[in-house]
Amino acid sequence: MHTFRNAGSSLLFVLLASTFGIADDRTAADLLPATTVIYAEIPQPAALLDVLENHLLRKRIENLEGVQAAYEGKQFLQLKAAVAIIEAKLGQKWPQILQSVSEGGISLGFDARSQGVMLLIKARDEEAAPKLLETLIELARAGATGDGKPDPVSSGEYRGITAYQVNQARIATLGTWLLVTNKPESGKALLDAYLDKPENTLASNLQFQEARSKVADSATAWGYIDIDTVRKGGIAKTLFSGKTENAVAELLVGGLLDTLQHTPYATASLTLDPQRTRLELAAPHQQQWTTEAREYFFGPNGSGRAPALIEVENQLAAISTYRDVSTMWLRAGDLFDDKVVDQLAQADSNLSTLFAGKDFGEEILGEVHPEIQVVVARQLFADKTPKPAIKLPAFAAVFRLKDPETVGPDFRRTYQSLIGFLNVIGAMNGQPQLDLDMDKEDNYQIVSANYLPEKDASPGGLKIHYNFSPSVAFVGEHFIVSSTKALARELAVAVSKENKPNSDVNSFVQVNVGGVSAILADNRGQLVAQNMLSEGHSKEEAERAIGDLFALLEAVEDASIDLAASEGTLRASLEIDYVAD
Amino acid sequence: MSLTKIDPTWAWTPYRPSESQPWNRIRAAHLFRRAGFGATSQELDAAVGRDPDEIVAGLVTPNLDAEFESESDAFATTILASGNPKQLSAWWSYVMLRTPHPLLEKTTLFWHGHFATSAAKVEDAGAMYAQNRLFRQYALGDFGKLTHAIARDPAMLIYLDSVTNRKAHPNENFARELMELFCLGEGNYSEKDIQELARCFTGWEIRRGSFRFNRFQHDTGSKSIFGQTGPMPESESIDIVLDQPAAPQFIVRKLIRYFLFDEPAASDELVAPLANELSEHAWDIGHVVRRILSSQLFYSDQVIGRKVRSPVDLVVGLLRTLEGSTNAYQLGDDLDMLGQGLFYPPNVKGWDGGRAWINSSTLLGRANVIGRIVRDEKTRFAGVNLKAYFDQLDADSPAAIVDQLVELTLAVEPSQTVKEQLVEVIKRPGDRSQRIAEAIHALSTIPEFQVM
Repeated sequence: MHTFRNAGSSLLFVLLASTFGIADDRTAADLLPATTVIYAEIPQPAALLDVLENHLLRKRIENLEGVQAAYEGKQFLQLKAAVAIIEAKLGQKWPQILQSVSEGGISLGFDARSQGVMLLIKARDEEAAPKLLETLIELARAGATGDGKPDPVSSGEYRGITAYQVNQARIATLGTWLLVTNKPESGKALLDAYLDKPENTLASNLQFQEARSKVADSATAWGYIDIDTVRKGGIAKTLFSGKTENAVAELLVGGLLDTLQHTPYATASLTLDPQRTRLELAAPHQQQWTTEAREYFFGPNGSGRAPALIEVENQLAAISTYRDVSTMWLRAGDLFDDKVVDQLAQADSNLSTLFAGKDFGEEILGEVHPEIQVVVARQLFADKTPKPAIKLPAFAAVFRLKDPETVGPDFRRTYQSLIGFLNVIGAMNGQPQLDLDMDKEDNYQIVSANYLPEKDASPGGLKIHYNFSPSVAFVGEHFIVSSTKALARELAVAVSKENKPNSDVNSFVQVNVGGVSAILADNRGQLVAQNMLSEGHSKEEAERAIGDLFALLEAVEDASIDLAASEGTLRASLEIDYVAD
Repeated sequence: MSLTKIDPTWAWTPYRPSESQPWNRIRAAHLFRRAGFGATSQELDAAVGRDPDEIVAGLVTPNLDAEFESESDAFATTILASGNPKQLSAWWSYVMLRTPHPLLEKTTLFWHGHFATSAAKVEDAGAMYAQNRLFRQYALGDFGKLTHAIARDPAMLIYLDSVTNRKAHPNENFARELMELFCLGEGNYSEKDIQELARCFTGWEIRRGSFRFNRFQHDTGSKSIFGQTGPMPESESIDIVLDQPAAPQFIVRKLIRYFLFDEPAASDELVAPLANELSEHAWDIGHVVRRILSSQLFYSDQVIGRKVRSPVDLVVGLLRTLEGSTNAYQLGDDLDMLGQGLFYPPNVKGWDGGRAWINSSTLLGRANVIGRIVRDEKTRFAGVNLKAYFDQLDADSPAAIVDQLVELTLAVEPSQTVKEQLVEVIKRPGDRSQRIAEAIHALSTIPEFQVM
């Protein structure tokens, strides 16, 4: 009977219960109070279930060793037994039950006034939800009786409507609706709204209407947050403070913080189909909200655009962005607190020394155009190259110089000084030495340094150093800094051939998941060893666990993230493409 | 009979099972606890059907499992790629949990404590691992060869600040420790011997992580150590130290302390027979360990339950006994917290051991660590949870589970009251595995759990 109780409670929570109904075309937003600040909706759960049923990932996930083990686990078997009982009671298969109970959509809201979370599920007809709720309550009660526990379900009435309570959840069915909430006030508000049909609801909120209108009808799920109210409520003060206090975070998302300080709301929409997943976050955006200090992020009048992607063989990831790093560096006093400013001043001083006394912010970063690209690629380690035990990807940054004739030689000298410095430090620590080299072709010049092989390799195999052959390349106005000579060369050739116009977004990130999988495969031994240590697995178990990871990665083709500020909207989107079977 | 007045002849006479001292699961469990990290119920079942002397012979001269050895080496090589010595602690914890050669691993640990070298100072994971392999190579082999090898071991020389040793200023560190801590013990040498021995090691250097003999810095002059005079090139001086009568006595006394009892220190009379055998058998440690583990003394009441469990014995012992596997990183950290960080001994003397393992702070810490491990979701017992594990052992009632726990983990029977309390803990409502974990946690707090 213990089984019944657990399974019953689980399902009670999963489905969040049910009651009565009358045919009505009202939406969840018509029932939720106007003070609702967070709202999420799955308009067509049946369509979502259908996508999940046929999703490319599904079979792969089901075949994973870990999932197979979970299927044989006690909890899953308990759940399965409970589902079988429900199916027998209701005379329908579980997918049909879910479909009929949620055909009109599933919505979730958080009300700022009552601080309650409200779940609203609209069933196909007035019978589906009450039947399921009744069955679940029976199950829960039977389980409790079997365990000699008190009745876990209590009930009460409000305006003639029976509501049930299980733990913190208050549940009622009304017409075609199944309503669940964690606060009595929220529950009353929902029942009042259903019975009284007030004019002032979330649906009548103009801001909500505007947000809803901007979400594509094809979205599988979408959400809305009233940022204005959240901000005024003093919640997440750090997020809305407009400061990051971290130079890297500032560089990545600093421009978004100005928008967060003013934008009234934000939406998220998720579109799922068997081949692709797309998540889009959007918020109203006005150029005037961007402070002068953050002009470096979006560019003058928001005109900054990321450069077109340079593609190389075995590319794992690429980041292309517009960031005027010189301006950001010089504006540090406006962007960060004193501690960070002091750290940056110290870095500025050291870097100025490295660059032969030139002002780092003004004369070095100031000589670089704001269009920047970072490329990460898998290394293949040709036979002649020493193979390190841990194989890291190569990475490089591509810049455009404002005055390559003047600045190029400065950068070359600085690179040579840096290699000399690294050799001195390396020698002090018994590390391998770098050997300088220079290649000159018609269109480009590469200055590189290779680690000399050690006579006696350590028991750990070749050191991690052999992942690197730090290089710089000069290709017309382009300047490339790369962790390896091979990638520097590949980029130099690509840059000298291509001259694509900039993209139409501020930033984008592209990830080739197949490539990531390949580089993990290159380090499979490491991953297995780490798994053995951290999970206590035997080698065979660890091999299986890592195999599961690869199986999942193999299902994903690539992923990309875009950030764009245009047409009054700040938009960030994540897209994942799956490999077709 | 008191341990101070023990008859050496009786003590080292091989144990023969008798009616008064039968070969049973209790004595087999004692052997596996001392000669390794405990035995599972199945291992005990198998052991009682065999001759104890034959079992000890197998432990001392194991048919090395080539697959495990190569897997372990490859595993370590992979770990070393990170260059982090801390990961080595996790690696060795893992190896101890899974090794098919527990005595070899336990003796390797003995030499780690004897030739104590800490990664905290050496900082070179590769050098620490190489030293660990050296210990394993000679763990049950030739102590003389081990001593010669350790004298040139990069990790040891880095640890003893002996990376350079010039004839103008001989570095006495290694020479001093060789006599005091590694071979002879205090009172068996003079300061003059140290100074002269140090001259023999001049020119011994570590460069870029490897041993190098710098002939230009070696003092080729005549030296006089223990009455012998001559230039004593290179390692000849170590042989002179090893030839001292105190050397085999010093090593045997430490082995007795490690395998038999912490206190009192073994008497000269008790040590002498085995010290003689060690000399006669050309420093064969395996021979002496076999004699110790096969002796009447080993299976006597004077020894059983008379040794304080080290953190490794406590934690690895529990897990191996119950076929446990867990997060080895956390296990390495736990051992460190309890004062036995692998690759991180506290000083050149190694771990004091014995009563020093236990004080008011570590006693609580030991129980807390056991409690954490058995409740950790990553800890599994033969791949399953505790309830399923004891079901496999046919211990399906609380009393049967407690009986199994007591037999497998304790050298000394606890009181009936304690056993009843443990049964009550397991009887409590709720998840059975959680209750068994609570019982093991409770068991770990009693005095009997601290000894073996």
